[in-house]
Order: sequence, then C-alpha cells, then structure tokens
Amino acid sequence: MTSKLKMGKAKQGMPVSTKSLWKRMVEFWEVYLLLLPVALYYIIFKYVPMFGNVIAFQDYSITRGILQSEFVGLKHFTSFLNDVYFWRLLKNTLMINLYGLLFAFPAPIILALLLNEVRCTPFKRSVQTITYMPHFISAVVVCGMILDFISPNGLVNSVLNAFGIESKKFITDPQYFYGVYTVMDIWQGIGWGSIIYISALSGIDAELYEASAIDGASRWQQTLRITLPCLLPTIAICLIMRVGQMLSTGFEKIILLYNPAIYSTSDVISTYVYRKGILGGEYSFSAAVGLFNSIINFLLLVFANWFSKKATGSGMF
Amino acid sequence: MAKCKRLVSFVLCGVMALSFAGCDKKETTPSSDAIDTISVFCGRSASLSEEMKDYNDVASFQKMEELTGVKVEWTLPPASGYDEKFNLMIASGNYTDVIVSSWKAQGAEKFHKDGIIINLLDYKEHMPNFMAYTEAHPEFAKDYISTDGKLLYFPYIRENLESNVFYGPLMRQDWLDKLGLEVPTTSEELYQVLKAFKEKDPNGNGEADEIPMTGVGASGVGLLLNMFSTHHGFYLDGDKVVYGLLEDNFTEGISYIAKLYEEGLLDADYVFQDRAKQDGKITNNKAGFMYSYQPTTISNAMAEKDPNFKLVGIPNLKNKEGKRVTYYSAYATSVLPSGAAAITTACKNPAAAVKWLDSFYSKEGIEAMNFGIEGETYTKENGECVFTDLVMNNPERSVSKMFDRTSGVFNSYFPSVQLWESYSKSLSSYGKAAIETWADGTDISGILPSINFTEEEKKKVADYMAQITTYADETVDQIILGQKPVSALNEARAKIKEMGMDEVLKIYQAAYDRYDKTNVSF
Repeated sequence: MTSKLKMGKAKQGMPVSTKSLWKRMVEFWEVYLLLLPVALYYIIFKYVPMFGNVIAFQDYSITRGILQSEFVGLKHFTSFLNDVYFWRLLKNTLMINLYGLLFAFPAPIILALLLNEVRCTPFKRSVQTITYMPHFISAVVVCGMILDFISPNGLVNSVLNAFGIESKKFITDPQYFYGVYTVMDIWQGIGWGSIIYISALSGIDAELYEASAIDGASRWQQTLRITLPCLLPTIAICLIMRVGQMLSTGFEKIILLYNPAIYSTSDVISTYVYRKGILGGEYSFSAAVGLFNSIINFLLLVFANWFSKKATGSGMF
Repeated sequence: MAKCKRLVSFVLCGVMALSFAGCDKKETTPSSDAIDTISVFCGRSASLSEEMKDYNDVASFQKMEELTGVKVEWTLPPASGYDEKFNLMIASGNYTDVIVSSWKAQGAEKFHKDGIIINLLDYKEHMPNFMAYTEAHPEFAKDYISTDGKLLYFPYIRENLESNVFYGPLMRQDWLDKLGLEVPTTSEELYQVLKAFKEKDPNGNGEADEIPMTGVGASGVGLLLNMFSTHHGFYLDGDKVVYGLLEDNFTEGISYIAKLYEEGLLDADYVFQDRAKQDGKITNNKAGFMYSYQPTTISNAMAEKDPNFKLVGIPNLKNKEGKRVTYYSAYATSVLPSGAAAITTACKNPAAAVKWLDSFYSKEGIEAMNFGIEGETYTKENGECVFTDLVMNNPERSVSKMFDRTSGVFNSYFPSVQLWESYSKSLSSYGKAAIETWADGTDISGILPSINFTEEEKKKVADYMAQITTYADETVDQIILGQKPVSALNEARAKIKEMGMDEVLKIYQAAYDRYDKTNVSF
C-alpha cells in the first residue's frame, strides 16, 4: 500500500465545492474577509517594497530620493564580488550553514523520535517544556552567557580541567567557532524545532504499527520502516525552508559572539556588510548584497524543492 | 437586519478610530518682521524628564527667552526616532525654521546644495557675537567653516580641554600604596607595576588571582600604544597624516602589548568582554589598571563596600621623549558633531533667526546657557558664577538631575558654548580629580581633527577601509594573543598597501590639507 502523502492537498472529510472561485468567494465571504487583512499585509509590506530593490542599482542618496539618484548598474555587485574577502565570507557563511544542516537540523528530529517512545506523559511534557524554554531567551542574553561559559576561566574550561584536559581558547582560536555556534544553535533550537515533528508523529496511523507488530517487526524496524517514511514530508519541507535561508545566516548571534581575532571563520556576509555600512552609510551597497543573497537563496530553494520531489515524492511547491 | 446593524456599528467605530490617527501638531509660521516665535526641530535629550514638556522648561532657555524676546516652538522627536522623523520632514518639504542635528556627519553641504539650508554668512551682519567668538578662538573655526568658506550651521562648542576629557588611564591607588609603589609614568615603569600587581598579591586574599590590566577590545587596550607615539588608526605626525600600523614605532608598541599578554599581565578576556564585565573585575578586586571612563559610578558603588578602595586617574603616560601624548580623539573634539543648528529655506525671516541663534554666543547668552537664571539657580560672587543650593543641594533631586533642568549646555543638544566652570560643578569629586589629572599637561597635537570628505572621497574611503580595517584588526589581535609573531606586521603592511592604503592616505592628506588651509576670517 503506497502512502504518498501529499502535504496540503486532500483533507479527509471536508466537502469539496464544485462552484467557480468567484461564487465560492461570495458564498464564504466571511472567511475571505478574514483573509483580507493578511493578504493586504503581504501585498503592502512585502511585495510593494520589493520595488525599492532598485536602489541596489543606484548610488542612492537620501536627499535626492529614488527618482533622482544616479543609476550605476551592476557597480555594487561587482564591487562585492571583487572584494578581497568575498570568498572567505562566502565560505564562512556556507560552512556555518553546513554544520547547521549536519548537526542542528537532525537534532530536533532525533529528540522528537526519542520523546515519541516515552510512555510517561508527565516526563515527556516536562522535557518538552524545558527544551523549548531556551528558544524564548533573547540572543543578547544567550550570547552573553556563552561568552562567559567559554571564556578562559569559564565553566567549560573548568570542567575540562577537572578531567585533566588543558584549557582551550574557545573564543580566540578560529577553529572552534563553528562548533560553538552550532552547539548554541542546537541548545536554543532543539526544543522548538521538535514541536513540528512531534505533532507530525502523533498523526501517524496507529494501525500501521499494530499491523507491523503482528508481522513481527522490532521497535527499531518500526522506526526505520514506518516512522521515518511518514515523517519524510515534514522533514523535506523543513529542510527546503532551511536551505532557502542559507546565505542570510544569523547576523545578531554572530555579531554578539565574534571578535577580530576569529574573523577568519566567523566573519560572514551579513556581518561584513554591516561593518562596511557603518563606515559609509552605504544603502545601495547593502541593498545590492541583500538582493544577491536573496537571489541565490531563491535558486537554492527551487533546487532543494526539485530534489526533494525527485527523492521523496513530496515538495513545497 | 440585526447582522447589518452590527456591521454598520463596527464600521463606524473603525472609521472613528482611524480619524484620530490623522491628528498631528500644526507648526506655526512666524510673522514677517521681527520674529516673536521660532520653530525648532531638535532631538529630545534623554535628560529631559517626562514631566518636562520641552526645553522651555529648562532654566537656561527660560532666561534666553527673556533676553531675546523670542518664544520657541519645539518639535522634539525622541532620540530613537530622530532619523526617521528627520528624513520624513526633509522628504515632505515642510521644514521648521531651524533644524538642530549632527550636520557635520550628515554632510551639510549636500543639504545646502539641495536648497534645504542656507549659508549663514549671507547674514553675517546679524551675528556679531559669533563672529567675535570665532575671532577669539580661531582654532575651533576650522571645524565648522566648510572648505569653500561657507558657514552652514551654528556649532556646539566646549571651550576648555577638560570638558572634552572623560577617558584615560585608571589605577588602584590603594594597591600602589600597599605595595609601596610610585605611580608609573613610562612604559617600563608600568611594566614593573603590573608585574608587582601580579606577583605581590595586592588584594590580600593569598591567591595570585590578580589580573593586573584589563580592558575592552582593541581600542581599550590600544591606548598603551600612545606611550610609543602611535595609535591604531589615523593620526598626525607633524603635518602628515599617517596610519598607525604602517609606522615603525607601531611594531615596538605591539610587541610591548603582546609581551604583557604573554606574561599574564593583560586580561585574556579583553578581546570579547564588554564594559560591564571589565568594571566587574575592578569592583571584585581582581584588576588594578585599565583605560576607561572617569570613575564616578565605580567609586560611588564601592564607597560603602570598601572604604580603602581608591580608583584614581593617573596622568597620561609619557612617551620616549617624555611627553604625555594621547591620540584619543575625544580630547581634541571641542566642536561637537551633534547639537548644531542650521536655518532652513522655509524660515520667513532668516536675518532674525540668525540674530536669535547668535545671542547664544553673547556673554549673557553663554552665562545663561551654562548657569541658568541669576538669583535663582546661580549667584555672582567676586565676579564668579556660583550655583545656588537649589541646584547643588536640592533635597528632592540629585545634582545631575538638577543640572538637566538648569543648564542648557549640560547636554549637547543645542548650540552654544559649554564652560568647564559650569560643567565641572556637576561632577563628583572622583570624576573631577580624574579629569583634571588627565587633562593636565597632555599633548593632543597628534590627534587628527574631524576633517571633511567630499561624497566621492567618502565612498572610496569606505570601500577600501572595510577590507583594511578587517585585516588590520584581525592581524593585530592575533599578534597580541600570540597566534602570530610580531614579524607578521611586515606581511600586514604589504597586504594593506595592496588593498589600496596608499590611495586612502592620499585622500586623507588632501582632506587634511584642505582643512588646515580653511580661511577662518569672514
């Protein structure tokens, strides 16, 4: 029996209308009215401002405004691509994302799978609550705490020393940055990220498990053959969305954690452009870099979606 | 029908709510002849407490209204929303008569070219006080007169060096006394003192847990370079603009700092800690020396906890030639970038507006802006202005809160001249002592003044410097932390030249020469 679950299509039990769109809109006008503010929000605040991207191709001056600022074509894009640090920034951005994909992405899934096995409900709930609390702590506080923990005399080094391991220079040695950032990401995101998987897991038909138990499947086989395939569409969507943000990596957390001694691994596109912006009030340059990031992200998104469809049969669009 | 009625009432409520959003304050335009009101757009200082409506509640401005007969209508956006409101006002074309802003940073020339603000020199016959002040203090004039000889705004000026000084070297005097040491004056003496702090347990707890010197980031620690006559960024060597890293004495300076770090005399956390952590180390009796702000807050906090605690400002340390040199730019910032007033083309009577702004530089005006209202907030004793008990000993409010309500120049939000005689009275004894020590005998001739760039120059500099500072900061930190040897500086110098440093130096030199040659007689 194939279970090609297509996300967002057939919902069981809902009546499907056969009238035209217009007639449906009139018939269910309260529902569409409810949708109207949201639709307007997206049109006014997301789509209309897109025209502002034109400043990426100008030498925008705040006193002259968009219509009178000089048009310079691709000047900012070339200046960005030719920047001495361009490749390093790109590498750092991609590396941080790669570590995230390899370690921080599976973490919530594993947590969800583990929690799914827990029978004792109070324990399950308390673990869930404890793990999603860090999500609500502001980035400034989290980074302040992390800097304290990994400082030369901080908590982590004290623990290492207790085991006879020498103190490591976590915050001044570039090689540790990806690790520190990823661990912080996992700590903050694991609980919140697991919510969506836990809810997907609870939607798996119990009959499938019963049927497999009758056929003699062990728990491990059940996980491999039932749980994971059923979870696959959710995983695919989350993966696609994450890939679509690859180039716009978490600016605030990095700015709060980095320092010049570790620029070689921690300086990413957004932090560099931020420093450049401070020096020159470079609206056009930042707009150009932002546009560049968005275009690449979009292409990655489309590719990830296509790949997901080919590999798992489900995609976002 | 009931459904319809409810819908109608909801819609009516909504319309009513929306209409309130449209209300806004109207700005009155002044009458054509001698003005009796003037509209001013200015940032709302954080020192204006909630109960005060606007600056007309501050004693200085009340006195100015009496002296000039001009009533001010303030438009005061809060500091966080200032830029937005400013941009909106400019874009709308509906300007107030006067706009107070950081004109130098904004590029006043741009606004003048676009016909938004006027050249005040067109009305120079109406500003005798300001002209006299400029003639008496030509060293300030280069800062506010533009390179093509225009005056586009009235500046906020701090007349005395002490008013600019708020940052310098601080040391635990009680530790020095305990160990029987003299205040260090040279780099060698400082090294010995720091070593003693580390080895001789001045905090008396029997553990060698002292961190002799602490600091925040490369700029906090970088002031040690002053002892080697150099500095992190751009500065002056005579009349030449130089960049620290390229100079020879920079190598010596960085080696010194690296040595301090290696021997554990410099806080390993300096690279990433913030001011709160740094101050915490001082108040926890761990650190003995740092470059930071005047010690009022720390001293007040420690006064009860530990009566022996003495954090004092020590004189700026000497360089090889025995001169107390500093390159900390604030010391030379007498003309502040903020608090400058420009007159817009919307002003119907610019001559009168110029006359009004000029009155803030007259003798009576400066006195009023610094001390407030005679008889109420200050009295004259032997020709000197002395604040009354209302300000200095008010049972309801602290001294600094009373200054907020009294002295118009206490915070730089409106152009006039701030005098050390008034500002110093607002400081605690700790602060005043530290500031006077730091200002005494310090040579600030090497500090690069705030020169103006043209728009193309600014863009070029920004483009190059983004890469250069990234590389320079990274290399310097790595050398200090011991990750790279001091010889890496040679490689860095070559790399920076490749990145276009020569171009940048040329631009800086040209801008400085222009600045230096500014014709200050008008």
